[in-house]
Amino acid sequence: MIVYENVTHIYNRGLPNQQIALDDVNLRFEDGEFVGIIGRTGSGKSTLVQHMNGLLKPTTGRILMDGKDVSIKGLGINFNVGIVLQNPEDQIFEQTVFKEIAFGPQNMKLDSGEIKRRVAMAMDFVGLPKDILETSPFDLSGGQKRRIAIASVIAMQPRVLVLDEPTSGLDSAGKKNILQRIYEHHKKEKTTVVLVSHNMEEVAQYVERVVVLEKAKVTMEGKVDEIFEKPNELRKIGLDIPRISVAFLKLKELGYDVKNVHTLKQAKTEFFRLKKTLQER
Amino acid sequence: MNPILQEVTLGNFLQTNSVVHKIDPRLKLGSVFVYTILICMFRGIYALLLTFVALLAVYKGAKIPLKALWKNLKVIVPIITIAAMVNIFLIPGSVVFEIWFLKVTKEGLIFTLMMFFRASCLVSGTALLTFTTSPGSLVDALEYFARPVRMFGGSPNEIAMAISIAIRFVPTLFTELGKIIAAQKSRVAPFDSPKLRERLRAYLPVIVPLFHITSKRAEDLACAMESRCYAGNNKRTKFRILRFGTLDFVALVLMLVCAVGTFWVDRWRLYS
Ligand SMILES: Nc1ncnc2c1ncn2[C@@H]1O[C@H](COP(=O)(O)OP(=O)(O)O)[C@@H](O)[C@H]1O
Ligand SMILES: [Mg+2]
Repeated sequence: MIVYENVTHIYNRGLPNQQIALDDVNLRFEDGEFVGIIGRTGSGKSTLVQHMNGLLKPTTGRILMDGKDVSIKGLGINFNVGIVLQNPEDQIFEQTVFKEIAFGPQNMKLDSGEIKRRVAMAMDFVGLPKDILETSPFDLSGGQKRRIAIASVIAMQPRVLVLDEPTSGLDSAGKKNILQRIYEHHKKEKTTVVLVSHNMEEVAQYVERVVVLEKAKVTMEGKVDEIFEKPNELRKIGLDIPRISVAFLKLKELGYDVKNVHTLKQAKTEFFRLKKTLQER
Repeated sequence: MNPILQEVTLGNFLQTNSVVHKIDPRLKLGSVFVYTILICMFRGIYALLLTFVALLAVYKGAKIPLKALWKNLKVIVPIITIAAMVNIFLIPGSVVFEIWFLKVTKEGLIFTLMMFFRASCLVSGTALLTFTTSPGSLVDALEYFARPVRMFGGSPNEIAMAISIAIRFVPTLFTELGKIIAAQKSRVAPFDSPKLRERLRAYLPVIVPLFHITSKRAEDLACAMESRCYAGNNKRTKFRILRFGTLDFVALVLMLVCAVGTFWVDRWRLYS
């Protein structure tokens, strides 16, 4: 369990370009949860997640992991938390894809057999073909670079996996694929997953609980259904609800007896239920 | 992220709407140039001290917090410290006190103090220029001083543009560098290892992506400039035209008084 206690983060403190990126944030991430963090650009999402493994230290407040303070200044990185940062393809440096993905496990001083196993697992995880193992990552496409970067964190098998806008800039097949696999991994291994995202369809489909950030503050927090029940509040802060939810809200407005739905799967059942009741009449 | 990199202000413009910000950039650039030469010429400590105090006063006038200056000065502290350690013991002269076999001389102390203030003045002066002058104005000033190259068929605009882009990208590169370090740290790169060799090796995964990103940036920038028909030839007209006003005249006089004054103090109190 990870707990944020009154966390405030100020960039360039005391200078004219000072920026309060987090303002008294209190949060709780339970083990095995799939949490979504949404908010418009500049609302502090990246700053928030970078506190989780100690990359950033809070200006005031603290972060506890299983009751232990991981936000003490001078304390190194907490490797139980694996973060895939925004635009992670910028971190690529090795000569081959294998070496790139093995970088993390190698630094963890695992033996070579284990490293090989983990690289294979991670490649499989993100859906990269085996035959590119020995090619240079710089020769690959943007989407493939992204997958390599994600794989390099997956290979470290963190207990908590944090993804900062992992699908921005990927094609729709690539998006779905990666998230689907992360979701399966989460179900199977009971890994905690924190997903920072702009895409509400994604959030509705995979996330259990949503945290909404607005101007450095947590303004809303709750189950997906509760959050998407308030489309007007979300629109006010520049966010949307899934398009399928909009469609069903419209149906409700027109006088049909439907529940609020947020994913295509829910929509399908709800639609057939509606059809049946209409036919019975 | 590395706390130093995270908040570095090197080469950053800080808008505070002060009088100093409004001074003609040519005068500011010229003053920094003249003062750099003067500071290197000073032979005594009094002129250096005076210059440093005067610089601090201008910081006050420009409403730049000294904390911003300190962030730049901090960078030279380790270099100065090492040089001081060597000089303080090695310069012969009248001995002030002795520690075991090491003799500390008056000459050594003064030399070290002078080196400290010389470096501080140089850093504060150049930092003041970038704090108070927007990159755009700086190019205008550079272009003005680069005019003589026309005689040899060169283009002052191209030179100014190249320099300004370089200055403009220093903070961006620092941000980029910070991000890469963060990413590699997240992958257990041994930046904090007690072994020096390990720590140095940890920087390879930082340098390679940095070069990659920089060259990609440069290419993108070149394409963007080309597609907007940028040509640095001498037929370009200007949007902002620099005018030397009353404020600039006052500033010029003040600057000359300071320059002559400190120089006189220096030669008058020679080797004090
Ligand atoms: N390294 C930094 N230095 C200074 N300001 C920063 C830095 N990183 C982010 N910020 C500022 O903090 C705020 C929050 O940024 P960020 O956490 O990246 O938001 P998001 O990920 O939601 O887009 C923004 O206003 C941004 O400009
Ligand atoms: Mg972000």
